[in-house]
Amino acid sequence: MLKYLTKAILLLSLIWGASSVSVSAEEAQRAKLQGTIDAALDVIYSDCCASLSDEEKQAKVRQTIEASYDLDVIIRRAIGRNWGVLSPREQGEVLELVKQLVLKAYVKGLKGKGRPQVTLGEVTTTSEGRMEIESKIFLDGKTFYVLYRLRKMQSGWQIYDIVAENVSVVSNYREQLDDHFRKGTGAELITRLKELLQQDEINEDTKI
Amino acid sequence: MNNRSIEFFVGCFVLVGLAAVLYLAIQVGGARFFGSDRYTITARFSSASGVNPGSRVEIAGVRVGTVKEVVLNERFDAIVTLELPNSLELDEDTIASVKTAGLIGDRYINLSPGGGMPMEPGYEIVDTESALDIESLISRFALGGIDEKSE
Repeated sequence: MLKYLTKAILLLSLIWGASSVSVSAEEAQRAKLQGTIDAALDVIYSDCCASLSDEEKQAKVRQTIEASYDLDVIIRRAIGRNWGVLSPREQGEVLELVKQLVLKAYVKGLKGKGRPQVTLGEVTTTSEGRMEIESKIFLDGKTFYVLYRLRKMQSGWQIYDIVAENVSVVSNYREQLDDHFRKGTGAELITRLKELLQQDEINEDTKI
Repeated sequence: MNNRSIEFFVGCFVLVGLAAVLYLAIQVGGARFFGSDRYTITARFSSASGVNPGSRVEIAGVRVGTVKEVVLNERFDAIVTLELPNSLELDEDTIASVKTAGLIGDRYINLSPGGGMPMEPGYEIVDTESALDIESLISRFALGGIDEKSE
């Protein structure tokens, strides 16, 4: 009897241990994401970085994000099956240019605006090795709902998609890139990305 | 012609008739003797409003399959079962979106294949985009937004 009781207690402790590990993993990812978002916003809004130029701010934001997440994951996913169309040199160049473009849009987009308040909500494990973190962003009197999708990879938990108001960033850019690759090449994509980087205005209407 | 030959021909006629009825039943019922030529996967949406069994499944505007079933799971997510041909190979990075044909047209599921690992039959797509709720968008943006009042 005592033997069975010991086994039952051991089993229960294992189950409890496994569930608490999962809960703490979710909480850890939530805290990591909140920390990264706050640190990236600090670059734009805190006094310590006020004297930095836009380019310096972009570099600092990039450093902050890349300390926690691999930006390549989300960009490669947006490129999708067209990744194989690009040569290894083009792959590297596209990754770099898209990163620069995203960071430029981030810094320019928030310039002159009030600091957005980002509140992270529920963390949901959608399947094994995947979770979603809900967030609410209050900016200039408006509320936006953004969902961060994370996946456990060899390099740890990585953001692989961001869904803003039910529109997936990866799906949106994949559609544009698919359209490009139907009639264009990798070299033409690089030229287009360089053109976009030269433009002063990058907003939601900017298309690849 | 003796009685034995007549019986033989009648027997053959009956057998041919039975074979024809069996063939018809198989064709109408869509049954397969050597496995199905279709497989099913599921997609989990926060809202599958307007999607019904029989709705189209498209890739790049081309119909590739059909919605077989729409049910609710224990977390109140909509689970949509998609029936696709075996010849269609999808990957785990595929994104499923609920789209509308035109402004007020039928709802359908659009699949956007990625470039990841091949998807096995029975796979559940969790990377989905639910239908855009036009009424909600109008109330939030055109009419000043309901969130600001409640915040």
